[in-house]
Amino acid sequence: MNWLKKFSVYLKVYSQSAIEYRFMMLIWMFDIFFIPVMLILIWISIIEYSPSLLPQRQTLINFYTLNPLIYMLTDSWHAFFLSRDIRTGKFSTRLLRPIWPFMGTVANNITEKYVKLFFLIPLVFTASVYFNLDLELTPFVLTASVFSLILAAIISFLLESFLGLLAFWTDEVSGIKEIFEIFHLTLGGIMVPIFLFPPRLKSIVQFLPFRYMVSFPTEVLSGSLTSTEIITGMLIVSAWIIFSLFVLVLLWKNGLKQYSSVGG
Amino acid sequence: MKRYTKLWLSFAKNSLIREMGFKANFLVKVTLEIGWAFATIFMFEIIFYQTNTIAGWKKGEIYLIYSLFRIVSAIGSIIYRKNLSRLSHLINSGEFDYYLTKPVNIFFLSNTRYVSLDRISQTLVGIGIYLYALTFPEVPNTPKTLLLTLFFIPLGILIRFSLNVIIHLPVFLSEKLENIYRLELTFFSIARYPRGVFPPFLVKIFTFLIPVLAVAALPAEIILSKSPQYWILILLTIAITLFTISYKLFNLALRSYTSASS
Repeated sequence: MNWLKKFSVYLKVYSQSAIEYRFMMLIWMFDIFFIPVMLILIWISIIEYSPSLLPQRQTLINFYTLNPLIYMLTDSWHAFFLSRDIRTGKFSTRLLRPIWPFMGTVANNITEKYVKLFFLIPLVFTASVYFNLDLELTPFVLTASVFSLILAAIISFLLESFLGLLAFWTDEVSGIKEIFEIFHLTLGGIMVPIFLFPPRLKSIVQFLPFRYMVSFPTEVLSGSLTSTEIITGMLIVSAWIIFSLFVLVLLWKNGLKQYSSVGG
Repeated sequence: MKRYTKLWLSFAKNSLIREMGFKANFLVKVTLEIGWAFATIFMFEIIFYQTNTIAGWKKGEIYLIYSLFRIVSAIGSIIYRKNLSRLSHLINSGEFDYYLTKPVNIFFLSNTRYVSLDRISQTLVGIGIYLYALTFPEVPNTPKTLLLTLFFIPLGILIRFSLNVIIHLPVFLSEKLENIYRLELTFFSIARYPRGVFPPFLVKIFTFLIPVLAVAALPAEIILSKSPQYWILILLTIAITLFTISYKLFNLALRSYTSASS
């Protein structure tokens, strides 16, 4: 289990880095927390003027209260760093090491989340109490939530890796990443929950990967899905994971063939 | 004044020459700015699919707020955004020393050196949304509306700029705060909504203490006669006071600056 020893070293190094720059972490967590909380207030005021939305009130509160936690737990952000390393030639260092080139990326992802939890949990707890978070946590919902979280983290990681590996072919990955982010926020149910979309748009969006990165696990945990919808969602995200893995392997093989390190 | 205007125009010219060296990148940025604007429009359209009003504000009125928000953001982004986001890097690398040696007011130089012309598309989108808002019956399409808009936009820019400066001041004290610009974006994310959606205590905080709602929502209230006209004076006072505070605090923070080089 040599790789486990190496992985634990990475975990230790990145933990120290994350703790050292804790004020930066606090800013990121405030950013993730503030906007959903403001959206709760906005939706509550919308419902005051639209009684037809009243049945959705608790679902909306549950959704936006949990959203920051789910977002943080499933998020990945390494596309920028991966593309930068490929562009500048630092990627060669990763290739020369006798470990999986993404080991450091995974370790960084896990350790930053661990540190961010310390900032985020008190904020989410306060919001839960203030807005009266009310969840129906049956064993099925709890189990489904855990699985959907894991699947969401995996698909986020894979899609972020896909964006980063595009740097083998193009200098400008940040622009593509931003376009992806626009689709993620709109069609992924973050700006507005998908259960409020018009039916036709909802039926299209449920087959796209964006929903499964943050919104789907939040919907599962907040109790806005039936068991059939949960199982269908799990199958769709699993299909996207398999497809993404296939595409990534292709990108990796072809990208390495044409990779020429810049600099030393 | 004339000297600084000439200086700023030369900054703008240099920035344009630099941007045109990377035309494809410039076009990508322009497209993205339009994309972000349409993301918010998408959100509002979904909301108005579900309801007729947001806190009693009709669709046209909401788009009026959003257009003011967009125009203020865009013009601000053209003038100062890139400079403030670079401030942390400049200080950590020691490059800020070069700014201090120039025979120009350091507050002016550090906030206007780079001009982001790719944000012009955002301005045009904002104007487009404003014109669209004027087509709604609830938004008065009168010369008074236009005059008030033209008066409020510079005030909104001044308020947002001043808040931005204050938010960025900790970079003089801390080693790594490259993401501090996120605080400004986070707070201003609510500036596109009417004040009525927030509880009274938050309205007071976000109107007077951290006056993000004074950038677009409050001006829209005055334009639509939802607030009395004396609020114009209050808004003017907020803008001038905040700018003065930001200027003084910036100069105070400069005293903490120690060069990273030599």
